Parts: sequence; structure tokens; C-alpha cells
Amino acid sequence: MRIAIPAGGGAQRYARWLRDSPDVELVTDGADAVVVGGDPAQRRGLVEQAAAAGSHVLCEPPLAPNEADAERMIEACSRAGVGLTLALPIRFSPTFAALRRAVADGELGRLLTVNGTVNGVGPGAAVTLIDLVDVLLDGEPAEEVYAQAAPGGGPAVLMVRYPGGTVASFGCGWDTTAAEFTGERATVRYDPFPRLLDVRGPQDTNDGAALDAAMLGAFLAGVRDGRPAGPDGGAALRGLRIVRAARRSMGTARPEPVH
Amino acid sequence: MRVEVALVGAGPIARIHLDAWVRVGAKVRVYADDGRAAALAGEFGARVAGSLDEALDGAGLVDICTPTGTHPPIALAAIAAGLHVVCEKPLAATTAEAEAIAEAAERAGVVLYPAHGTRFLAPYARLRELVAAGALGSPMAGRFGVTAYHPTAWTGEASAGSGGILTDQMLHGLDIASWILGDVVRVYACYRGQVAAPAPAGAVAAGTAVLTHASGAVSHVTGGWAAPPIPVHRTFHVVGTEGSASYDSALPQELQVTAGAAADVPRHVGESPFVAEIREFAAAFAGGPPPRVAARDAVAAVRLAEAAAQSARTGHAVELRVPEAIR
Repeated sequence: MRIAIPAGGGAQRYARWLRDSPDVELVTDGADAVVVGGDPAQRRGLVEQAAAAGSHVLCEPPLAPNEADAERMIEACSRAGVGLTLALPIRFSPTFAALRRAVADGELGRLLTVNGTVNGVGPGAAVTLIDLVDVLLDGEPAEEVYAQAAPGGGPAVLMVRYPGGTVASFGCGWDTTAAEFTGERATVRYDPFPRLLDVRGPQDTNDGAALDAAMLGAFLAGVRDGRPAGPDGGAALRGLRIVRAARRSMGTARPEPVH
Repeated sequence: MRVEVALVGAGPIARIHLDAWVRVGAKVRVYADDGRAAALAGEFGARVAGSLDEALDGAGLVDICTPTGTHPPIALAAIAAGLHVVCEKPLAATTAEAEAIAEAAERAGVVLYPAHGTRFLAPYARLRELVAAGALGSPMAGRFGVTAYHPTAWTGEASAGSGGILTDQMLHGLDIASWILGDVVRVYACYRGQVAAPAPAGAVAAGTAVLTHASGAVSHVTGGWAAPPIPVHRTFHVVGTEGSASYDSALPQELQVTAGAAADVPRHVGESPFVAEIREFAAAFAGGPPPRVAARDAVAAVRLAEAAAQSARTGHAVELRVPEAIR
């Protein structure tokens, strides 16, 4: 399989895994799939180019700096008949798949609230957890968002209401990415980066490597079958809308509609 | 302690307070209108009073451990009789009632101490010390969570719109957030699950609140009654300009039974937070330093819980004026 990572695209962290993958060839053109990252303002051009060449796309979040760009990118991929997948590794974890099954089987009962924290700055960092809720709620678009941020780029809190009654709150700017899902029958916490070893030393332990591998493996399998799975353009757009409403709410100090 | 305590109520909290008063050397008389006073008093060698008047007559202070709805009449009667007041939280179900009690106490020149027990739990007390000492710099943001299982059915009537069964539990998180990050100027909250009372034992309800403090700091407060089995789970994480502090009660404590069922091994050794609380109140009544929680905190917490319930009911953020100090 031929995969391209455009130079300066900022998605180079995936190159090593792809290079070590026996059936992958890293190419600069004629690719089956393109991995897009880097400056969000440049992503639309790269994605449209990839779609025009018939390549499937794996795009780092955020999909685009604004919804208009995102809509064009979705349209371009859809017209070209190629997949558009947002690179959110934690939703590809087998652990999350187990949680998803448990929720679908009714083990938790009706989902009441989700409370999570994100290791990442600003409301945009919440998309990784927003996407998990999107999966569990089958893509139900959110209704309203309230958000506040501590001054000076400090932590931010988003509270998202879904029409079905679920409420999700996300704290951004903390040191852990994790979420707790409270249903009427049980509460389950999902820790995508559980601490297996307490490593102290100069080396980056790269805790996310296994999840990156799970994501890339699933994406390549999808490319092979011609229908990449994972968060698609629609899910990315729903996430962007929630983040935009959150930014608006920080200014107005009122809950803001998402649509 | 020389003054005599009139303890009103004979439920689980009254038992804990009575035990603490006896430990700090107070003389206690117990009154309850549900026929349980004699058994409780007998267990601790306390005297039984046959009526509220008899309980208040000649006592130096009252300790109110009855259901919330009965706090105002008992507190006002005690204040009118010139007694100092300790009151289990919440001080009252509404801000108006809480303010009326606090104002009556101030006019009568008696002190009013609300039993906000979480402030006496070691990790929260230590957090407050750290923040007060400037160890974290200026606090910018906090997360405070409590999840527990409510083992008995909720009797009484409380609409979901009043915050229902969440109000008394979320009150702790709201109080601690204000204690650590300062007065709150805006609150937005959502309540989900079986919020209205009556509710069965083990009812599941979850509350989430975003508080904006006068300093600009932001708190994310969660509280809930969860599905059993579950131990009480408390967490917090506070970041300031110079540092951060976090706590998770699920992390190993000093003693932990890791296999088998050994019922008599304590998790903590030392004074219980309830005894620490009553000891601090007793010392203040005896002329010592004021305790870490005052009447204005009780009113502020009720106001905040009421605003959270209003936000949850209306879907709007509720603006609060920075409360003026009551005294």
C-alpha cells in the first residue's frame, strides 16, 4: 500500500510506524492514502489535492480552521469517493471498543453524564473526548454549549448538552486525558493512557504509541477495503461546531446554540 | 467545656456529633421529636430533654442535626433564647431562610457555625493551607468531585427544580470551590438522573457545575449519587500560577486492606474530621480563635446551591453578586 505524508505536513510522527509496516510503501505521489497535518490553514488544499488524486485521507485534528473549509473538504472527498478520517487515536483503542459495546448492550443504562479532562490547551483540545461521546450517542448533534476559561490561557471547562438528555463536561488544560461515563446503572471511567510503568528519566516514554498503532492499523485496513472507518468528516464537523460554540460562550458567558 | 450543648435530632449525624461533643468534654442534652432521643442519649451518658424548650432552657448552645426543612424554626428559637448555634449543612433550604437565620444571630449577638464537614477532611484542609500560604501562587482553576452511594431511600418531597437529592451533596463541592478559589460570580449547572425526592435507596443522580470566581478563576464541580456498590470517591485538582495540588481518594491511603475482610483495620489513624470540627467549634465558643467556617459561608453555600438549581432548571447561567460579608 502506498502512503504519502506531505513534506512539512507535520504528521511525521506516524512515519516510523508506517516505515516499519511490511505492506506499506512511503511515496510522494500516486498514494492510496495521504496523511495530512501541519498548519490547519493549509489542510484544505492538501486534502482537496489528495481527493482529486483519488487518495483516501487521514487528517490530524482539527480538520480545518473553520467550518466552511471543513465543509468543502468533506464535499471534495465525498465527490471523489475517498474516505476522510480524523486522526483521533483514542477512539481506535480496543478498550474504548469494549466500552462502546457495554454502552450499546445497555450495561450502563441510559447515559446521564460524561465528565472528562484533556491534556491539551484550549477548548479545541476537547475534540478527542467530544468524539468519544459522538460515538456513544451515534452522532447525535449537540444542542448547546457553555464554556468558561481561566485567565491567561489557563484551564477551560466546556459543558455540552445533547437533545437526548446527556450532558458532557470537559476540562481542558489538565495533565490527564480521561473520561468518566455515568449511566443510570453504572459509572465507568476510561483512561486511554493508563500508567503501566512509572518511568523517570530523560527519555520520552511515548505512551501514545500503542494507540497511534491501533489507529494507523485500522485506517490502513479500511483503505485496503476501500472504506476507511473512524471519525469521518461529519464527526469532525460536529466537533468543530461544539468548539466554535464554546469559544462564543466564553465571550458571552451564556450557553450558546451549536447549530 | 463549661457550657451545656442542646443537641437536636437523633439520626446518624446527631450520633456522630454527640460522640464528638462527649469526646471534647461537653455536657449534652438531647432532644428529638421522633422518639429516638432516649436511646441515643443513653448510649453516650447524655441527658434527655422532653421538649425543644426544655432542651434550650439554660443551655449555652444548640447543635441542630435535624432534616433541613426544620433548621429555620429551631435555629430562630435558639437564637431568640440567646444560644449560640451549630447547624448541620445546609443551613436552610433557601437563601432567604439562611439569611434570616444569619441576620437573627448577628442581631442577637450569638455566633453561628455551620457544620461544613468536608473542610475538616485532611486533604481539603491541607489544600487550603497550601493555597493560603501561596504555595500554588494565585489559584486559576479547580476540579472538585464527589461520588457516593446513598444507602437509604429519600423521604420527603423535593422537586428536581430545587436541586432535590443533589443539593446537599453538591453543597460540599460548591463550598470547597469557594473556600479555595474565592467568591463565585457566575454559575452554570446541569442535573441528571433521579433528582426529585422521594427517591429509592441507591437512586442515581449526577450534577455538574461550572463556577466563575470573582478572580476570574474557573471551577468544574461534579457530584453524584451513583449506582452501588461504590466507596465514597473524592477527587480534586487545583492549579495556580506557581503550582498545582491534586487528590484522589482511590489512591492508596495510609492503611489499606489489600486482601481478605478485616473490618477493624482503620484507613486513617487519628482524630476523625467530625471530632476535629466539633473541637474547633468548642474552642471558639470557649474564647479561642474563630473556626474555619462562618455564618457567611453557610449563606454563600446555600445561595450557590440555589443558583445551581436555578441554572439547571432554566438552562441559563446565573449571575451572582459578590456577597457582602455578614460580619
